[in-house]
Amino acid sequence: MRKKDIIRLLRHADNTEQISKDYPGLTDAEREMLFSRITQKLQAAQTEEAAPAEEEQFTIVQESRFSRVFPAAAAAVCMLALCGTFAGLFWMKGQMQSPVQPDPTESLNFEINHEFAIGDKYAANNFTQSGTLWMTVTETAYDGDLFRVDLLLENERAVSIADNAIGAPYLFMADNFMAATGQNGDNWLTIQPCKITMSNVQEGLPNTVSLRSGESCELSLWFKTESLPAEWKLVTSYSVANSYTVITMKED
Amino acid sequence: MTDSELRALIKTSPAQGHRALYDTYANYVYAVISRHLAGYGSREDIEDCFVETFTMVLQHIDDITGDSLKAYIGVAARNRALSFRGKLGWQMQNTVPLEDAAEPSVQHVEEHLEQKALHAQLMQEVKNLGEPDATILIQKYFYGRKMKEIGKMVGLSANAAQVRCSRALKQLRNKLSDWR
Repeated sequence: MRKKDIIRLLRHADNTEQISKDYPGLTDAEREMLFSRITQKLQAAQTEEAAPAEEEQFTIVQESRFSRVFPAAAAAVCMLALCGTFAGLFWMKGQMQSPVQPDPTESLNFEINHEFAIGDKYAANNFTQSGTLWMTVTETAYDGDLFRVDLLLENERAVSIADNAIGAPYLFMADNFMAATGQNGDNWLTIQPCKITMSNVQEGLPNTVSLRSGESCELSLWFKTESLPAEWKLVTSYSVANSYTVITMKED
Repeated sequence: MTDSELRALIKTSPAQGHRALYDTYANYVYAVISRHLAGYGSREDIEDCFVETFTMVLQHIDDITGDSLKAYIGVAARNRALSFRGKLGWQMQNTVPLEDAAEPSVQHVEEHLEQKALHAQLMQEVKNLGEPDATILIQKYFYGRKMKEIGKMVGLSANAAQVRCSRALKQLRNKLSDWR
């Protein structure tokens, strides 16, 4: 038996629990140091959440009849100005941005082939014990120098398979989504999205997408257009070939 | 402490509950993450992944339903480790699409049972190596530690630990050769 066979056997899922019990990977000092780091991160997160509320609590406003009317009037004027600005921006954006289905009369550098992408459901993974986790591309579009892909994730009675675990709600990490841009022998080359939002609620990279049976959520992924080849696959980090949507970007 | 007791403690005394959860599952989470990241990232990457996993779990502890905390934590650790691998820029292995995978057959089930028996045998043979050889082997090939660190753990010089590791591996290969 070769050395790499033994290493492969050692690292098998079947052995993980026993190894963790019989041969802990952390010394006592390391365990304490890491717990301290975790505690600091949690405290930092709690401090961030609490800060805005504290500011509101200690804001003192000296009121007069004029001071009640003026801020409201000023706020109304500002809102009107903001609405007008956004309306103007949207109008300009609509004039500049190509629609998902490009107008054939416009001259474009690329067009998107949606034949296999939009609306197709794919089993997003083969790690479910039951049911299926579906991934559907609902829209693709250019967004400045980025390319946006909107996804609907749906859990259809899927329950995760985990090491020695049964029945957990499927935990699907949002930052597992990638673009598979080509192959080098048997290996796929992948790039991460540079921005992800979830159900139009969070900005930045959501920590997790945890979907229970029957639940769904919407994800938007942004990739740098210059990093995408003519044809690429949208994948999750578990399986390139099993969970993909082919997105073809053809030159005009 | 059982998962139910942990949940109860987290509700009544979050700080104590978090510490108890950590003490219960730290080794397991570290093992899951090491299994996926050792050989791909550094020890610092494994530790960063470990910290991020536990931070996330503790932040979302109230959202976890179902009976098994261990299942949730194990999946979170695995997912986070795989995500880290992607961030470290490692190319993914091409896999067989589900629709092309062979249907389970009696032969595959037998092979699966053989594999499980082999894993059990492997762990027994590792244990039979005795200490500190078993610890050295696991720390090196499962957790990906450097020999200098392993030497400090077991009270040996790096060279002495390396020699014992080589002998232990050779012994293991001989014992397991009958299974090929």
